[in-house]
Amino acid sequence: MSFMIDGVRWNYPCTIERVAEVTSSEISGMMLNKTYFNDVLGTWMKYTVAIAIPTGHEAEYTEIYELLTDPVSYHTFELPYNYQSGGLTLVARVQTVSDSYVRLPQGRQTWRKTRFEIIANHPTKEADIGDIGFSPFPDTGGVDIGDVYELTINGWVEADYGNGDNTYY
Amino acid sequence: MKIVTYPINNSSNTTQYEELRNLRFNPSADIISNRVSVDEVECDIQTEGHIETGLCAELRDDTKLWFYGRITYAEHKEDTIVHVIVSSEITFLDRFEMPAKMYSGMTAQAAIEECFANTGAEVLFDSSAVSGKTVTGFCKEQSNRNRLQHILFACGLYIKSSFVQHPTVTVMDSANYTLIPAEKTYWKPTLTYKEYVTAVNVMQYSFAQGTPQQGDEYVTDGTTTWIVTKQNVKLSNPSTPAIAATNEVHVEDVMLVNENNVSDIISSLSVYYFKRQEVDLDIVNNGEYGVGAKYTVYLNENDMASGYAESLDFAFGTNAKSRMVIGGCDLVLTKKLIITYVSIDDPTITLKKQTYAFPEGYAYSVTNPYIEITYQGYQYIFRPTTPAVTGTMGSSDVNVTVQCKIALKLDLETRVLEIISVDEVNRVEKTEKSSTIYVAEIE
Repeated sequence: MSFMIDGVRWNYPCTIERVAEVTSSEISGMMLNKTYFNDVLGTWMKYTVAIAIPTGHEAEYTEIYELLTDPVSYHTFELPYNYQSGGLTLVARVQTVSDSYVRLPQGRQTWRKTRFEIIANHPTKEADIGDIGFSPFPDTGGVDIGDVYELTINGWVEADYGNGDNTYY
Repeated sequence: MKIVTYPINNSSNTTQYEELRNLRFNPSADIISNRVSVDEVECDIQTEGHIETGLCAELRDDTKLWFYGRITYAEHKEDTIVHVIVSSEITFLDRFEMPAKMYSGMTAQAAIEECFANTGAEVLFDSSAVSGKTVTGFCKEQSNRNRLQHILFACGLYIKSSFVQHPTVTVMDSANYTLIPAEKTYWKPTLTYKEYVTAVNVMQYSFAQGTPQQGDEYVTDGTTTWIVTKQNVKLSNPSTPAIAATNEVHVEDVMLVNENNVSDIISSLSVYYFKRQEVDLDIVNNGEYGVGAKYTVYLNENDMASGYAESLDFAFGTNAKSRMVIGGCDLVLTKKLIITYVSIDDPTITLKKQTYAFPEGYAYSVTNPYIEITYQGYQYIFRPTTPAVTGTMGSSDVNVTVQCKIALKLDLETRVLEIISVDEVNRVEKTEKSSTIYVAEIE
């Protein structure tokens, strides 16, 4: 698995965890009709990457460590996102970088368990006023009584072409 | 939300700023024109550019203008942060003085336009508000803003600067109101009772040309002298209990009050001051509710109050929220509208019941919802056979039954969705809407 930081690809074994935070604004609250008004701002992605840089690559390890710990506002990352769209390019700030200095057999000492956490500066998905979050129904030119649809990986697909005989073609 | 700036002489040369922080916007309007306020927008703008004072600035979103004014303060605080204050054009009226003047029936519109002339500010009018109104009486030398306040007070007008292109003169409308629904009102409004105002007193003036020796009090515009005669006109509050302490409002220094307008002025003041209730509430407000207008609001699910929005204090997210202060309030009697949604195939099955409280005389229109029911392995979407329940609330509760048909049926095991019935009148929109609701449920 690999990832990119500021245009440079790092091709090392790593475990990538992600958290999507659907963030609401401070004006969210309970309404008089006892319904909660959720004023969603957007969805922010947080990633945690645990890298295992093998021995013999100490120069690369130093380079990536110094890059991640630079006191800059943000970096540009490319990380895995979903199956269909592939990777996600993310402008994000580094929150933490951690590792451990360990003594190995034969007296060698090295840095291990390297992890860094990032959080996006901008929402990956932004909310609009009136956005109720429903994906649009596919345009079939109008639906008819007896039409039947199936939910597939490509969304709703008409399964019965309107004659109501439950045949699928 | 963004701020758009441009020079006064070139409105097409715009610069947009969308990275705003600490945005503060709290417009107000005094419907009895005790004062004329200067509304402001204040915020920090993140920009690498330079922002100058004097530029025109609009606070707007994608659909509407929220506020127009001029940048009166711009402090470049850090590398990329500029703190700005945008003030309404009323602020310019403080910079100029108008000479003493005796008005003899000048139209209100012309008199107000005089206050704005040569100040760099513009004014708009709700035409029906100023129609037929004239100004008679004397004003001493004063700032343009004070002159404006006297004229507005005497003519029963007020001015607002929010959600308009320029400060706009309008009139208190006590006959019509807008109802703010419960689903837009945060939990929970507060109702406070102010001290009784036991009477309103307004000094009425008349003038006769003469010399200073001819009377105790006189005024002059530098050329002509008028002897002043004044008389206090008082209206007592008929609702004051005997034990209430004396608490009277006095208006004495507006010499535009005369025998022709004093009764209208007293009436406007009594509409406001004799009402003790004040309501503070938070509402979802994306610019549809402004200052000065009359609103009927829910205090809880059953009780309501009606009065005039004096101020709004906005907070912004994707939507906007405002704290609204409503003054001159009456408590409002409400009756209930109870809507029962039943299946058309078996009316004994109640799908949903909704209860609304509305004021008597209110023309209501409640959109009938699509209803989702899960039963024995199937998920059903019921669509109403009528789009809305409408009517005028009378003096007693109203019960209405709405029949609903199955529109969609989803087999929860096979995930196959079947169209059962279609609204032939609004077929594409209605079925698409119900189907997208269904899609979201599944996903």
